[in-house]
Amino acid sequence: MLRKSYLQIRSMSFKEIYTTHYRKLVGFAFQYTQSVDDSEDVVQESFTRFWNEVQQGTEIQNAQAWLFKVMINLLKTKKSTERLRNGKENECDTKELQSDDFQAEYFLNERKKIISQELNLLPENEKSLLILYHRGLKYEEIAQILDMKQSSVGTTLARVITKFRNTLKAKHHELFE
Amino acid sequence: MNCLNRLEIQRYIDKEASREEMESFTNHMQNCAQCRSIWETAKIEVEQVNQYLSFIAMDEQLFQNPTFKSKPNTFRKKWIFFSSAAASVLIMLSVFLYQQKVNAKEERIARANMEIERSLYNSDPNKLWNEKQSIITITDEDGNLIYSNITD
Repeated sequence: MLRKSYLQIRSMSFKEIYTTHYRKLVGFAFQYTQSVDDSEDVVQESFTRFWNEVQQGTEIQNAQAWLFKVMINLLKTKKSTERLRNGKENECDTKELQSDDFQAEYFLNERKKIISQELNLLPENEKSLLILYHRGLKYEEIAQILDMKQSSVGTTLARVITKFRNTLKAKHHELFE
Repeated sequence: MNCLNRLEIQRYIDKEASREEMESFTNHMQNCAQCRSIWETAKIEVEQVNQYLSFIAMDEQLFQNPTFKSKPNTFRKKWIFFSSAAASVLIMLSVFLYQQKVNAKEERIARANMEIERSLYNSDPNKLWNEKQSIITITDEDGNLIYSNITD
């Protein structure tokens, strides 16, 4: 009876965690992969692993950091096995856009493609850092997810932001004036 | 307060510095053109990068929260898969062997005739019957040849 109620409490909290973090995770994964299907798959897999850990009795103090860590590792593995369809989904999505100004639409698609490409050229940790920052996570949360010191998040971020921005401007100045 | 470089200014832009630090830096910037310039440039950089990244972002609200279905863990899943596969193979093999047995036809001949012709040629009257060359033929009722052999 006691065991049952304990499981009920745990499953309730799992539901809350799932509802709270699902969209955050899938939003990050989409920026990382540019594919809705891949994003949803990888987030589901992360939650499945989380669920299995909880069932085995593992106490996870920071669910968000744990889920992000697992998901980023899954994304890295996915990328290393070259199963990511970089840019393809993005192209498909943008093709569906209806715009009166064909030229503006063309430039928007080009920008998306180039940003995605340049982001993929960054080291994995820098790429994750930039996306996490863009998604509005605090330094403390970023540090927990990427296993780095909170005090070095700001300086690393500044370096990556400057590098990313300068690369885009230098390589594709016609699109990023 | 001393002047800050681009790397140090980042946490002030992101409002991650304490209130005292923020106040101190704001006061410092009013009298320091260099820090003001770095601050302005850094702010533009951050805004631009955030704008670029928003091009490849999707509104989180567009993603539906699907119902979570817990799956068995990998080991259990593999164990179930392999045992099911082994059981399937065993069942299929049994069915196959049973079918083979059922389909096997036993041809029965109602009556067979065996004829032995002995000593066709090179007959030696001194030899015993079983030492003589013979032709053995076995035929069914209709006279169809089933087996024939010439003995030594």
